[in-house]
Amino acid sequence: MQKIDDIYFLIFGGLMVGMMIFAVSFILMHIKNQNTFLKQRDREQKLQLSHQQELLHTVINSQEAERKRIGQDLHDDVGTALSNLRLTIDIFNEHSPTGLSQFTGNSKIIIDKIINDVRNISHNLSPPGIALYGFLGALEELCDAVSELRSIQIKILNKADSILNELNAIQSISMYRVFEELIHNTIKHANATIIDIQFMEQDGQLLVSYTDNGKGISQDLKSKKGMGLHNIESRLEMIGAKIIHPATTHVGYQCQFIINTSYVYH
Amino acid sequence: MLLEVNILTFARYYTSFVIPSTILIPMGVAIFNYRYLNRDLKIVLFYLFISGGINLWGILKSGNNNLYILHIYTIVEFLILMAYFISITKVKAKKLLLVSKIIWVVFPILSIVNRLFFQNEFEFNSNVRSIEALIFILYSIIYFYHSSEDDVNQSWGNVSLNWINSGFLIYFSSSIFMFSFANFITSTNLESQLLIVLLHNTFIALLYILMALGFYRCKKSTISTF
Repeated sequence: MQKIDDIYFLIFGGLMVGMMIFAVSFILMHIKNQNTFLKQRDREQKLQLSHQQELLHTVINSQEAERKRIGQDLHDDVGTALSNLRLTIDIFNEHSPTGLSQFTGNSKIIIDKIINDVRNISHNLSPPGIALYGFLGALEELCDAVSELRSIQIKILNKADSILNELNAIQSISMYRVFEELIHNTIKHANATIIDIQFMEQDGQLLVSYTDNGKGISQDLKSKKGMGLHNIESRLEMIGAKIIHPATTHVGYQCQFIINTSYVYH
Repeated sequence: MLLEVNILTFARYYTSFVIPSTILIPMGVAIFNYRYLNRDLKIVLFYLFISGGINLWGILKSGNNNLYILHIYTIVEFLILMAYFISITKVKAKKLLLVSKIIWVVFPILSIVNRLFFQNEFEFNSNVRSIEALIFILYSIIYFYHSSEDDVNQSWGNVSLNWINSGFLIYFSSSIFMFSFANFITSTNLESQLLIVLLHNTFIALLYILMALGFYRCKKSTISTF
């Protein structure tokens, strides 16, 4: 009888302890899940922070590089031309019969060169085409200039005219700089002969695609982005554009991004 | 014989003095941190006072039939704890809130019907007590389910409600079978009854300790609701 009654304790006691173990296991799993989630979020935040720092670093570096380039342009072109002008004035001999006309001619040539250099530098700083012909006009002008100088063909396909017209000043200049950088990269690294630029409309947003038929970019280089690629990324981020990783593989380099023209700047 | 007497004495002290006094631990911590308590935690403190008071009444009436106190206790406990679960539900889950309010009204009626027609004051109210336990197990699980979905801002241990709901989940899960078969358990031998009661009392102590930890953490805790 005693043993039969012990069984009741074993059954009920066992059930109670068993249920407690279930409850404790449930809580422990909950704790583990929550801690894993917290750790993962921390890791993501750290990664995001380091990416932001990297972009900021790039912005500062490119500003410095731009200043250096402007300084160099001023020194090499304008500075040299002005020195020449000074030398021309120094050696000017007013008593020589042909001196005055020669001096005037030389001076005009040098001054024209200075005007041209200053114009080039200032166009580089702020492309006037954007204000005059809009983003697409300025881009076409850039492409024509590149095609004339290099043996490269640039095709522009525009199927999003209305959206392109909606681009504001910041978006236009940023997009222009992005294309400048992309074309520069293609010329410098890709050894390509054709560049394809396409503008399309997708759900009221502007889908931009840039491809070339060059040697492409290796997986190793993709992870080690240079300043140019960081520049592109930070400019696109600034205007609220999202870089899309295309589903299809392409032999050369390809870059796609989508822009919401009603993006609000922070 | 001597062993039996010792077990009986121990069980009497354990269930009448040691375990009931552990309620003072969460009460003390809650009173010490009273200014940090939000509405949810104040309801839990209120529950401790009422629960402690009714338990004391039960202890004072021990020796005679005090099962009618358990019938009353079940209704009071349900009303307070359901108010607590409704309070932590807040506005996020509107359907759940509505269901909770309906249950809050229906359960006391069910308890009275059970007392009048099914289990009188000389029996354990195992029908409603096990339903009560089941309801609180479900609510504790729902709390944890929703708290994992929420945007978690602090570690698990710093959230008061996590400790308190863990206490409820462990206590009601481990006691549900005892509640369901209470009338049957009283028909088994004394030793089995004593051991089961001792085990149950140990779970009560665990509930109070977890509550105390919840009250201790309330300074760091932010509001977490489902």
